[in-house]
Amino acid sequence: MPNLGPAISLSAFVPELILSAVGCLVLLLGVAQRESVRRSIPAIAITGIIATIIVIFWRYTNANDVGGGFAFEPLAYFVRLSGLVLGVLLTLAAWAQPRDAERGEFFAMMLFSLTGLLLVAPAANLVLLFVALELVSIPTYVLVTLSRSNLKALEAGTKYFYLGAMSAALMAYGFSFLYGVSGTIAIDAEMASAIQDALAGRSGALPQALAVVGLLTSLAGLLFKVAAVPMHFYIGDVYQGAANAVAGLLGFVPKLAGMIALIKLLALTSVWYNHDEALFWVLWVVAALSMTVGNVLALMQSNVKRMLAYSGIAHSGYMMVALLAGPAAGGGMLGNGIAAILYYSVIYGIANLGAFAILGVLRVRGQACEHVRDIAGLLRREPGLALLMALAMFTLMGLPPTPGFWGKMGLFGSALHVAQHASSGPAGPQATWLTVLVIIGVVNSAIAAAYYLRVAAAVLLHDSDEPAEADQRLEFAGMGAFMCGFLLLVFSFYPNALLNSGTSAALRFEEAPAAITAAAPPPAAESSAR
Amino acid sequence: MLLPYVLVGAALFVLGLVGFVTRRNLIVMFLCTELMFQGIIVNLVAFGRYPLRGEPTLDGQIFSMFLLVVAASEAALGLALVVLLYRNKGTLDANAWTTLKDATA
Repeated sequence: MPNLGPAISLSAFVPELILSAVGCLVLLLGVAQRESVRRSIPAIAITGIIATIIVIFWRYTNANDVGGGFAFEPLAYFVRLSGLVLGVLLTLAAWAQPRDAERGEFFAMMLFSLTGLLLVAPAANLVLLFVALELVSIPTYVLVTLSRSNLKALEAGTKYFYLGAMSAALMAYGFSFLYGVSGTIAIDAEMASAIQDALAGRSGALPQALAVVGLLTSLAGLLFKVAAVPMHFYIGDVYQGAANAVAGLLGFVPKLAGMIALIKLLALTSVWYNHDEALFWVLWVVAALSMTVGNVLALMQSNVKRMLAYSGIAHSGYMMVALLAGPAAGGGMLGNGIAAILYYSVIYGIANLGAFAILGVLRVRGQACEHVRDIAGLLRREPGLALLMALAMFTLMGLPPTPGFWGKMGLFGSALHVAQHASSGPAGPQATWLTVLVIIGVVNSAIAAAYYLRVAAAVLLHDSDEPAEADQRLEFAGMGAFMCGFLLLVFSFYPNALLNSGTSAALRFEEAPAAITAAAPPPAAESSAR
Repeated sequence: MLLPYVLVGAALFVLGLVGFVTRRNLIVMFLCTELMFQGIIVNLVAFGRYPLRGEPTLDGQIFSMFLLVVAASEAALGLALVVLLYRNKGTLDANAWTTLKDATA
């Protein structure tokens, strides 16, 4: 018999059902006869997303429905809310992007991708996790292709699709080994102990080999979703070819989904408890290379879209530092790396989308802006957008008091916290190397400042004979950009609004598996988080 | 009896992966990802019948059904893309598509 555990009521899925129903409706309305109907599609999509947010507030704030391979816990609540708020911003940014004939498909794919993101967080079984991750990814291939009418978008979509299909196969291959080694598809304590036994060689040579292959291939597949180093090569082309709003989506939806899947995968191992040394080194190298390669590639770009794309690799690297630290230390964002990742990926998503939304609004002689020189002297012509661009850049850079600073403090702080508390124990050398990784991260943040400041300086200080101006027909995209900036300001001065939710979402991971007797240090350094 | 099946699955998967990396025709590359999925399905069904831990279950077969659905939806999307590409350039050589690249200063 399939081991699906207890049943779950259909009412637990109401938010996801609303979203996918609105997606289907929008898809149908896309072929409506009357133009006024087709024109109203973005409004319908955004109404659907806002209705879902209201439903979540009304009924699902403390949802704890577990069963049927799903577990709607605080993590699912965090992802639902942050994903949908970003969904509103994305819809605004993409309002006038698709052509009339493709408007239905475009917004339907966006809603389906968001539905996938909402299902990744509660998925507590390998099959559902895989299907949810593909529900995130497959619509994004279509979005990239549809987003612009030129051959560049087609090329970008094709590259993304082919590499995405390959990475999906890698991930599924890894999942098949995880299933084989543990004999169950439920992602639970039983699977965790089976995989930990296999990795430690306690159940023989064959399970050990299969578990290693399984972990490495599923890791490779997931690194594609977050665009970390060995699987990062597509990102520059895809971001450059896609429309700005879609590039903003790619920086948030697949990245958060991939990060959550990575967290779930690593929770099955004991890498957070100073075991599985080989896995620690693999992740260490991936994190260090992602930060360095991403920043070096971004530094060499004069195309802002490609620069933001490559810097996305570096941001995945920063997040992987906290992923390596893990939740074991506990005690809020400065100890629990998972809480820091959740917080940071939302902040990164907002700032990245804001930057792309501004780029999408601007025109030089009727042409879209892509290069740094195109946006020089923006402050004179469009002071609001110029200040927003600077705010987005400062957030991505991690300048205090922007929320990017709080996020980076959490990412690196949690790693340092773990390193300090473990350095006296048996895992001394590992802890030292974690500190080295944090130093690499801080150095990389300084490198990143160079190219972010180049954009900020071009926008604020430089002068241009022909400054870019906002396209008046894109008022909704401008509104989306301003809402991104507003959210960044809110989180600068009230970081707790998002922090507390992220911390409680990460609480579930703080309990050490029964097999491991981890000496959890007392939660400290809470007071400095404002 | 598990090992032969895993080896067949691995052979299919690796053939697909090698083909994906070396071939340049977009349809052949797509067929190679399908080959990878078939290897995974062999793996899953074998693991369902001969699990390394616990009793045999149907979980692996259920997983393979879902995998077939995902592979089919990817096939639909992939063939649509191939048609679009052929209409635009009249060739399916992956090397014909190199507009997007890093600007070398």
